[in-house]
Amino acid sequence: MSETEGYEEFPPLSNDAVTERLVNLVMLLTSSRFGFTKAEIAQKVPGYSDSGPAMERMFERDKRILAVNNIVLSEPVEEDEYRYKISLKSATLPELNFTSEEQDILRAATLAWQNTNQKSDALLLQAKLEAIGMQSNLTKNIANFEIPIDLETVFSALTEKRILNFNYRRPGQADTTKRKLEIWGVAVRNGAWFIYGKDRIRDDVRVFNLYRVVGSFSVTGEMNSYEPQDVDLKVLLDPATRDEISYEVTLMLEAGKGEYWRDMAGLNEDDSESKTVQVTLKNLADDIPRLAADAPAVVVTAPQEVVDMVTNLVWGLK
Amino acid sequence: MNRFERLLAMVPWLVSRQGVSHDEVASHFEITKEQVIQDMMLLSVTGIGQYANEQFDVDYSDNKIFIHDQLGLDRPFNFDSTEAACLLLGLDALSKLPQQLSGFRSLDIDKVREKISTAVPLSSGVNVVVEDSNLEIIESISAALELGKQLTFDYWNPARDDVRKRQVSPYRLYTVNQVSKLDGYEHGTGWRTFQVSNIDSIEVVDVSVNFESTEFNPMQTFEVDISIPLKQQYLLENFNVVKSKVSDNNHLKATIRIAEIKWLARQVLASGCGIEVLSPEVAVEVAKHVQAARSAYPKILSAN
Repeated sequence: MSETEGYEEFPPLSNDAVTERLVNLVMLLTSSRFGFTKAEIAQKVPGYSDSGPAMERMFERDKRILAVNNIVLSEPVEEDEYRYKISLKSATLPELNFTSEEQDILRAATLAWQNTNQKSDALLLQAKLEAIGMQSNLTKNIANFEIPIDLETVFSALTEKRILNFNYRRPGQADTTKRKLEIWGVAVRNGAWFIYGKDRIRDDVRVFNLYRVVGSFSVTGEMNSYEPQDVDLKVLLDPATRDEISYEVTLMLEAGKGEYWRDMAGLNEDDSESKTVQVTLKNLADDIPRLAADAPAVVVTAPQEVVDMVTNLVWGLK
Repeated sequence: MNRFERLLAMVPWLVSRQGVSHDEVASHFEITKEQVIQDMMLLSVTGIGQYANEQFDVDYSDNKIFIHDQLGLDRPFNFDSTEAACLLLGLDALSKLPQQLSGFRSLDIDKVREKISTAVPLSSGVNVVVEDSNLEIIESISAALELGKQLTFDYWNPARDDVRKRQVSPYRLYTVNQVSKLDGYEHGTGWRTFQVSNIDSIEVVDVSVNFESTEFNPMQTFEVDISIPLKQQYLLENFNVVKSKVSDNNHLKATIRIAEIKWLARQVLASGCGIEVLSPEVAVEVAKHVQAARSAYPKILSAN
């Protein structure tokens, strides 16, 4: 069984006939404040061939596509029959007025996604903002995100408060583990992208580097199935707080070398002399490879356990 | 972006820009002119009935588009979850940048967030976390850029693990994923990109900028072939990969671009020597670095 088997997938949408049916459906459901029954919809919207089970399936699928696009149908019951409609007042953007400075800010926020997979989403966002009056000639990409991962499913799970499923590779490990996350948020810190929330399998709050997600995301479960909790992101995302094990280590530093470790040891004086320093390693996943890379200008001499870890790396034993 | 999403966003945009050309629409939505015409053809056959006033009425002849009857779709639909998250994250990123970098007052960004709060289906959960904004250094760089003056600073190069005094004519200051960077011409060396967080002891000097090479030319890089075990293909995330493919023996071959052999040697060591360098000349140089590192950890000889 594949990792994603059994997960709910978003329906594909490539067929022109489906697009035409959906546009017609939206036009119809926004055209009357009284709404339409399923039978009326089947009769008025080309593409719904009959009012039987096939039509039911097509209509449910179309409702789901509209919901993904944040277009929610109201379903008032009249005389034992559902009448479906879309309220333009609640489904469309409200009147918003922005100063020219604010319009530049909105434009800058959309331009931030120019170098990402979300570029096309940002284009639609921009079109919507322009349709309600945003006029800005700003071209400079100020915030400038760069991330080679499609975040659409992540954002969808976050907004809908559903479970985000993915396979994750921990630092330094080749194997992946399956995760089911109550996603509470997405964060950018020091150039890295993270998602965080409650890992349902481990029943604990966890943070995941998006670059270490292997394969694609999927979303399962009911909407609004949990309530995100407030967390101290600076603490949660600090690598030093993510590893439980820490080591007091002794390092020999060559003259003029080991700037990272001198800084960690609090050495502010001239670095033109070789030094022996003591530092505490709190982020082994990053610090051990860094020690291997810094050899021979930086050499760990104690404890033996850490010496062995670095030795294994430089000799390619793990 | 699928076609349905595009059409829903396009209609109100067209309504607010009557007479826009096919080319402008194509450019704005990053589609071909043919796709624009196909979209207009599709819209022209949609509607809610058979009568004229029940049909979507669009004129797209003469390379201009006029929407005469849009059947109530003149306002854009609410932002979907991705659009909302993109907007909020973009705003948060701008608000966390020093004003010298963003050019915006945080007060104005807050006002925008307040105004759109009723229109986004997401109130929290997208965050940009800033540890150290390096504000003083950014102020110095901004001042030098404004005055057209050169800078001197100590720069720690993580690839070589050394700190050297640099004299630089600053060219531009920018951010990528909230990491601030400076492009500039380093006198005596050439065009370089500096990470602001690795800069120390910065001073604006009273010497006008002088770009000895007039065209911005990023640091020279060259291609190297490497091989990585498939089970360690995640190591590729550290590289600027030109191309990669799975080879016959459960390995992945990749061509990467690097600026310094020393940097590649560090990656090899940090990876537990999982990366094999295939380009012969580079492999020899990398092997020297690896051998030097192994000489510092000789206990392995007795242990094995």
